[in-house]
Amino acid sequence: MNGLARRLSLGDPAAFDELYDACADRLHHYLCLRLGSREDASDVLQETFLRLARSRSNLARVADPIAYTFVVARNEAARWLSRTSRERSTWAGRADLLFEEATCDDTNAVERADQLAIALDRLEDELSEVIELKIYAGLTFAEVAHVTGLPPGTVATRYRRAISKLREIFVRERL
Amino acid sequence: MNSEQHDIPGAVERQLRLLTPRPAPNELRQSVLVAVSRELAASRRPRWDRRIALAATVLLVASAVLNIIIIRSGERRLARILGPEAMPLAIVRCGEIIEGVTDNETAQRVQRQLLAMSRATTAPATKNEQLRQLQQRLNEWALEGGDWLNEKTLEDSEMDRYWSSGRYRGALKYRRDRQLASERTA
Repeated sequence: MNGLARRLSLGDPAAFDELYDACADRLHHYLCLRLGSREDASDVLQETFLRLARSRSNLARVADPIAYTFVVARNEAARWLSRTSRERSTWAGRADLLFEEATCDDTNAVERADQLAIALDRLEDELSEVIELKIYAGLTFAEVAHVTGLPPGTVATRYRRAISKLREIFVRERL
Repeated sequence: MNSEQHDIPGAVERQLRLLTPRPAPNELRQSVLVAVSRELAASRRPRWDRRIALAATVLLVASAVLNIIIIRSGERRLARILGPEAMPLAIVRCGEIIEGVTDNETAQRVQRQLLAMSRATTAPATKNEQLRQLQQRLNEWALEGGDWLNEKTLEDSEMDRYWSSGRYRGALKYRRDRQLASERTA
């Protein structure tokens, strides 16, 4: 991975292709959840890669380029939200924007996707972010801690709290 | 999803993992990577604004250095033509005043002393500092026995007033007037 960071810092276009293929889908899903729109997520994803290209000299000192890309994307998303002065829109009833199963023919899968979108929408942003980064982005607790700027212990606590809260929501709402 | 299922440890996580996140749109890859390539190519091109700024900085530094060199060489040239070293104006003025109340020889002695003292200080002496040094030097001479200052000031109270209030121009004018008056009477 350090080789990738070095190539990125040297401005090798193939390294950027590699980075995109390694994390763009996960990043796009994360940004969707943060921003509430696939179009905005696409724009911010592009901004993220442009920022990486512009400040590529910083990448030479980066140990984990993928976690670093998530950090940049998180900052870009925050900037985007403050620039457009709007809150992220709700996910309830819009599971098709988040999960593949929401658009398939299997009604059980569609229902499951809808229920999860509702449950994720009920969580606080800080908890849904940890779930997203851990489960869907596939990051370790240490990487999630790096992305969110929190101590790993706090991240683990938040993750457990998010899971228990989701369980409560499922039981309470009979999902 | 049955709510009883969630009581089993890890059931919620399993449910979360069962769903597949939607990937990024296919067309996004092309647009992002093209934009990145453009950005990389743009940053490799020479930046004219930076080059101009660099050239301006270099010229500014070079002009400052040349200015210093020219001033120093001019001073050296003047020193070769006019003498060993130009005396500071404040010392020249002091010399004129002292010459006014004493004589040329004493004035030159004081000037030489002041010049030596001003060279000894690392920072250029301010006007007040020069005056203080001059006063101190005169006091030393007075203590050594040279009572010319007191004698002169007692003789000439008008000059003393100018002297004590630091109005050197007034002292010089007064001296010239007195000389003219004495020439006229002669």
